[in-house]
Amino acid sequence: MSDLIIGGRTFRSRLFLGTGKFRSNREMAAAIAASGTEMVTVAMKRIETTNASDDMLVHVQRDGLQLLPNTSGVRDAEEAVFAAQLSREAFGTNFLKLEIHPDPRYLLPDSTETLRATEELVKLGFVVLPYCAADPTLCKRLAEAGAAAVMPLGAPIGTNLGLRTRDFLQIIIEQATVPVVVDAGIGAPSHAAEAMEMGADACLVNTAIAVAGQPAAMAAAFKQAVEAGRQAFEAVLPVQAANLRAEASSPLTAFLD
Amino acid sequence: MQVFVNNRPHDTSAVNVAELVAELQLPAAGIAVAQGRSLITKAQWADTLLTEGCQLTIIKAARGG
Amino acid sequence: MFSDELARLSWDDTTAAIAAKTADDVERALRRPKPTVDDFMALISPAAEPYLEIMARLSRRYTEERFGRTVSLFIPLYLTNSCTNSCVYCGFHVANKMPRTILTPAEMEREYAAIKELGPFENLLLVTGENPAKAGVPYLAKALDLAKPHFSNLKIEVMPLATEEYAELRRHGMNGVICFQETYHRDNYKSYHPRGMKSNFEWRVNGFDRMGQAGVHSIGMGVLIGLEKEWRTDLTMMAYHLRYLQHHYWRTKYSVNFPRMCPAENGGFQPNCLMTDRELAQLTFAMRIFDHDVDISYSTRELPAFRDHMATLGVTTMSAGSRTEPGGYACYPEALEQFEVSDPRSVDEVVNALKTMGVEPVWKDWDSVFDKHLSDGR
Repeated sequence: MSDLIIGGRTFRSRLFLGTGKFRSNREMAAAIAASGTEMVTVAMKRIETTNASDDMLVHVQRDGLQLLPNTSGVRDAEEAVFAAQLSREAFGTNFLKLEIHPDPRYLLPDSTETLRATEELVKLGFVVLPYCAADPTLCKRLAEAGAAAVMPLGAPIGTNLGLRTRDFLQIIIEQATVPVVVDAGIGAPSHAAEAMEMGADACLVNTAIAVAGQPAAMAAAFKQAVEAGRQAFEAVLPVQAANLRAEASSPLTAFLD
Repeated sequence: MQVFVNNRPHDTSAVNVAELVAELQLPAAGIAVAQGRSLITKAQWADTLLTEGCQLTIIKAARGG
Repeated sequence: MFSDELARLSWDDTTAAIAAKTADDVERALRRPKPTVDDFMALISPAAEPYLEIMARLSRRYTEERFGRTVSLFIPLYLTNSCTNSCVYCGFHVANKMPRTILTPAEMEREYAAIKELGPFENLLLVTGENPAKAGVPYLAKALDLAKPHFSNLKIEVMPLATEEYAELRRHGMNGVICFQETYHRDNYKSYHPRGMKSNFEWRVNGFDRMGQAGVHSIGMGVLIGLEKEWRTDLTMMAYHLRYLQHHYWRTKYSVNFPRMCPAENGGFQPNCLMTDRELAQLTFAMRIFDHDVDISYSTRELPAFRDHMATLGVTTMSAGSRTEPGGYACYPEALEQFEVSDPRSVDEVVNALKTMGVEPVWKDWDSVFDKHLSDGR
């Protein structure tokens, strides 16, 4: 299967993992290993001076694993740019998942702030992967602004509802000039397979794995689903049957006889 | 002196950011320090002197995203 | 630029692939929600001929969904027939001894007024030969300036220009550009256009990229059917070109034309192939099925009955009342026309015919008031 290139880096796995919501660093690490992923998100939190918790980073720092710092928590472009600079310093990478959701209930991305932040961050040298609405025009604008990929949502974060936005994802994929990573809402391996069959370049999955009964086993299932979906896409899926029977009324082409 | 780390008061005997980071037993990698909206890069830690009551933001890696 | 993409396509392989298309390929193409260029090849291949009726139905359906039951009307005005090129098929060939006209501003005004008498036209197409010295960009800018108060949508069909020239004309109110590639067959192109700037294949085929880069709002394309024997291959290349342009210049609207040459009457260039009416219908339906959104435009080269029926089945833009001589509406009605008009009906006759067919003629759907690039600051 073909390789995926984002921000100058080649990925053989088209499954990316979010690291939130796991019960423990150990469970997170097991899921990462089982998934075969080559890129995981990392977040930032303020340290506690009184109690030094287990360092999460040691569990994700291994050869070949690309860190994707996430600006989640910021509410506008200005905060996102500041958070990006902190994350570049902390993690030593220009890769950035830009996530701006001022609404704490549904966590839907703010399109205006996301576009503004992308423009600014690209100028500052970041490899920007914006999490965004499944809005084809927005995705074109993000790509024009220099985003390294676009990450439209399938459904709101954490809902596991699958590809509610599939009609729009199809348009985005059709028109894309940068890789398309479906991010948010993927709740089952079948959803991921569907996204890949549609032609998405990758999937980012978090909740569905982290809160599964057995996260590592679920991660392994997702690995297979993404591979199967991509392989099917590259093998060129046959067209589905549709009704081609001519209607019984006067022929439209009679005038040509 | 007393400084504020992530808005919490903290008594420290460190004189610069590098010493403060060591005092807090923070890992070498995966952290970032800012004063107000200004990033203090690792290269600058040893030269950045702490002042009484200064406000620092220190972040580290966490699960998420 | 598209010339790089085109260099990767093989004319002969494409011709063979089209000839090898089967009924299965056609049915697959008809079913696919987003047809590919390969599907277009199946739909224009001989194998699709038995499917003409179902293609007509699909074409009508997609056209109605996207455009409603409407046809946009426009009128061409030839500003000049003075040309430095030697296109072997064209009446304005540099070596043809005939009176050459370059309309003056006063004559342009008379033509615009005469056009408004014919019908409430808002969509005007300004056409010129290639004479950059006497009728270049400043001349076109002047024509646009004078037309602006009378017409809300101005298009030009002129020699390929540089990016900055397209941008300049946009500032004078130019809304769209039409340019027929004539043929995508790189080697044979030169035999039809042996001299003059038009002999430069790359300059012409990459002109569409330049239009896109200049932000031209509407781009019209065409293959002159009759030049290359393998018209199916030529149109396939145009389909690739359309997809390429849509991918790179996504804010632009696209339009396709199918100018079909007739046998020459008086020993002029004889077409290398003659496309039948059924084939033109098949091509039109195929284009509509391939692309639900592209504007498909017919000129007055086609006969009245054919135009009227096709207006209900996939054609979305038509000219009416056309004169293809420079100054043909007022100043020089006896001059030599560029091509023979086969639909000589008056504008009113065309409008009534369309209405009888159940199609509403639309005069205007864009107003230059909305265009922020006009240099008078509106």
